[in-house]
Amino acid sequence: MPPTEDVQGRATRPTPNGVSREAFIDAIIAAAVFIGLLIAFMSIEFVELLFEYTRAGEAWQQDELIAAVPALALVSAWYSLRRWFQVSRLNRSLRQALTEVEAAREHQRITEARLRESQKMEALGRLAGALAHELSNMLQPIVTLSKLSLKRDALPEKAAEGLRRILEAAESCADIAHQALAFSGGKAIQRDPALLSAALSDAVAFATSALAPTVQVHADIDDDPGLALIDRIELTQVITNLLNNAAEAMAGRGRVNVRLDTRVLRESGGNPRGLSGGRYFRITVADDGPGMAEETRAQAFEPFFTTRAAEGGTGLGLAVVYGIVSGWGGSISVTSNPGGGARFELLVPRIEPASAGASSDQSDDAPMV
Amino acid sequence: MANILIAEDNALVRSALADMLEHAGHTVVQACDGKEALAALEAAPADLVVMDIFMPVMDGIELIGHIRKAWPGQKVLALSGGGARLGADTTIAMMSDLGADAVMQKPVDNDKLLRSIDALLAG
Ligand SMILES: Nc1ncnc2c1ncn2[C@@H]1O[C@H](COP(=O)(O)OP(=O)(O)O)[C@@H](O)[C@H]1O
Ligand SMILES: [Mg+2]
Repeated sequence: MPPTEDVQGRATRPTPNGVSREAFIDAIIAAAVFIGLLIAFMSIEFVELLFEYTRAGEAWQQDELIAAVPALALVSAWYSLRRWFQVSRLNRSLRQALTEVEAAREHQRITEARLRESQKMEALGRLAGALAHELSNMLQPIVTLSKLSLKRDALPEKAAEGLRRILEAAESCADIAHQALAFSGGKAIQRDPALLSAALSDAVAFATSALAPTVQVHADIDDDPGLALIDRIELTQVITNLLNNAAEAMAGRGRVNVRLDTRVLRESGGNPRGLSGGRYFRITVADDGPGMAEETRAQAFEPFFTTRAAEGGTGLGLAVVYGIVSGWGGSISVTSNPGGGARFELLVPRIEPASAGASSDQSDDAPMV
Repeated sequence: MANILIAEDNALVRSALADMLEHAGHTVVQACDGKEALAALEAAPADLVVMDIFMPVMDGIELIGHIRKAWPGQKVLALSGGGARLGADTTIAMMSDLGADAVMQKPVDNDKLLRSIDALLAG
């Protein structure tokens, strides 16, 4: 719309609605005058009266008068109508400009929110990595000295038992540190092109075997020749975490659907995740559990966020999943309604078999969290 | 049994590792950073250097560079805390690239560490 500028310049004071109402009234008045004159000229007495009057004063001819007055009325009616059309056109373009401004604002809001979110996750990643580093370091003397003390002669059984428990605690501490490292993007695993459909089927089978039989996992995964730069162990970790969470949310009883299909993302727009355009594998893990409130959903991927602290939740599962999927150059998001189950959607860049060799050296550029 | 030099800035970590290695029969010299470790190596050769990666004054990355230049055959085992700044596996890959004979992630198990040390000294 070229006239955005002068539209804004001219239309700032009179509101668009006021302008069009004014022009509409003009048009009505002009039409009324026109019709009134028409009626008047049809009545002969009026014409005679007018003729006499004008003859007395000035040297006007009746035919001139008859021609001039309706012509004036016509012209003024035409101007009013034209103005009315102009203003309503102006109105339309104004409204459109406003919609465009709104849309631009909304786009900016989403972009800023996404940026804030990714900066927050990056900051959390650094924090988690730094903490994990310090933690691993300080666990060294705990592990070393407990093991060493256990080797000493004539150690009272009570003391030995205490040392074994210290070791056990140190081990789960080390486990947490390693998970935090995985979230921080500390893993620079060599990722090779893998048949995603086959790897996913294996991961689902493995993760399912550890679940209670009352959790039904339904996999809808067709064979697909497409490849993805992933690590199979990481994929298993991702699926295990998602299925465990679903099973825990459903209190060990319910149904989880795992689905694989392909999505094409456009280069820009219609792509809320900040991924570049192209073909993506979409892995959907949906359960029919209680779902999450919006507040929980918004924080679910943050490290140490858990609503299951009492049941031993660490809040690291989804943070690890997030770190891994981002390391693949993909994305993960979750939608949920309280009571309506949770639905996790992963997008993983897809390489077609023909270009697999060419794309494998892109792995160096794969964005790390 | 071997002469082992430990380069590690954290005193608790350093002394625990020293206790363990001495208990296993090795002779241990301790250094708080890379500079001290180089000085110790110049004073007396070691069969093996066990080093932390992030240390003040001179870190393990620089230390291993100096060692490779001055004593190309020196056996080196690096212990990584997870590499806060670089990431765990990046750190491990980098230390092997730089010439560490083995890299292990802390906290390392006593028996595993002793086995790795034996393998390095035998090889
Ligand atoms: N499938 C799900 N249904 C409902 N809530 C879920 C689901 N998956 C995750 N959540 C929520 O996200 C939180 C974080 O999950 P996670 O990072 O795996 O940590 P944890 O399982 O240790 O609590 C959980 O505490 C839970 O509130
Ligand atoms: Mg979990």
